[in-house]
Amino acid sequence: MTREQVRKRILELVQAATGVTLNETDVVAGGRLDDFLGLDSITSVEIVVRLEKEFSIRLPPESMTMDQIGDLEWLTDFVDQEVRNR
Amino acid sequence: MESINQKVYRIGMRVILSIKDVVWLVYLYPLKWVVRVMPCRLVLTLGRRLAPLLLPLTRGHRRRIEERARAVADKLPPECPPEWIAREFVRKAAVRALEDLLITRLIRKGLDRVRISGREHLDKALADGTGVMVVGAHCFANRLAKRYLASQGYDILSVRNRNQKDPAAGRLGRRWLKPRYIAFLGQAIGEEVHPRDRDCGLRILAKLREGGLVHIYLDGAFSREVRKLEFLGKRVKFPVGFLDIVRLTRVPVLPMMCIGDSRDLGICFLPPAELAEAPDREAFIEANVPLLASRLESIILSHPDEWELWVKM
Repeated sequence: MTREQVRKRILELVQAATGVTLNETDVVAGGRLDDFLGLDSITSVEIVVRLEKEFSIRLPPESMTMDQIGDLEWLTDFVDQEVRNR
Repeated sequence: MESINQKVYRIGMRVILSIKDVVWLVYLYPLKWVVRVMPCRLVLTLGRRLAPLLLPLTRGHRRRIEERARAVADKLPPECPPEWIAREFVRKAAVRALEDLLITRLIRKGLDRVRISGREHLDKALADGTGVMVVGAHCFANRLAKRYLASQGYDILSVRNRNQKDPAAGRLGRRWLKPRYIAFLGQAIGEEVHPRDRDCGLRILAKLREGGLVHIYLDGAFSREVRKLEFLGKRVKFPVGFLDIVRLTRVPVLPMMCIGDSRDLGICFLPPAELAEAPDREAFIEANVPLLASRLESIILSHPDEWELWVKM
């Protein structure tokens, strides 16, 4: 799976969790999911749980902040790295 | 028609220093300094002896507690009539206020007597490594019990509302004393998160992932989303946000009841709540909020003198 594929899949999962239709141009590089979608506390948990299930990974507890989870590029890098290390 | 709270709030908005502000001021400064140099046992003994002096001053408050308790008089244990519950409320509130001032010393020194029942439920739930959602009512002994559990190695995160309305506070209290009182309680409680914090859900998840405990007040309607239910003879709001996390993570939900005080503390863990399965979020919430509310009601009715929301809820 390439980094771009990971990013695309993450956006699909975010879309499923929030119910908001997203396309690639909506969240530009460096864009924040929380700013764009107005993520609330529970939706962010749902995104984490969906991500972990989809990619069979575990996000470290210290990264569970809106600053990290709302950062699409950080999420993509983290998941991409975890998938590659498997 | 204007409610008592609205009336008190209207008056509080006008006055610079209300009676509640004076109570906060005395509590947070001179009283806190004095008890710092006094032996814990002496402070608490004096508190217990002097608490009856508060009864005449809290007549209105007690009358409201009695009225609320009378609505469920048929469900109360015969040894707990409404008048007794109201008197105990004042006594326990006074003792708890002193224990809050002494809590760190009390825990460090070791409590005289602690009885934990149902610990096997807690240890079994924790053994799975998923963390545990501990749910309960607002009881006077909660803060002490949580600090005690933390001292015993049970890492616990409390979900606590820091933006409570205080209709009796004056302008000085609202602006200056209340934030200090809330910060003081935060220190007494230990690790906590506010339900309206943007990181609240994630912090709860992180604590559960670390295999810790997350304590939720089922009778604290400060969640973003609530459901109204019949509860102790009145229609009241219940939080549902935590059930989203339970549904997503499948963590065990363990009811807890804390009774007594620093002389004799009781912590009771009940078997995990058997939550109903449901095809979607709405159905899950609709099925399980009444189930947990009814569990909470029976917990409170087993020790009605320990519940501190007779007036507020």
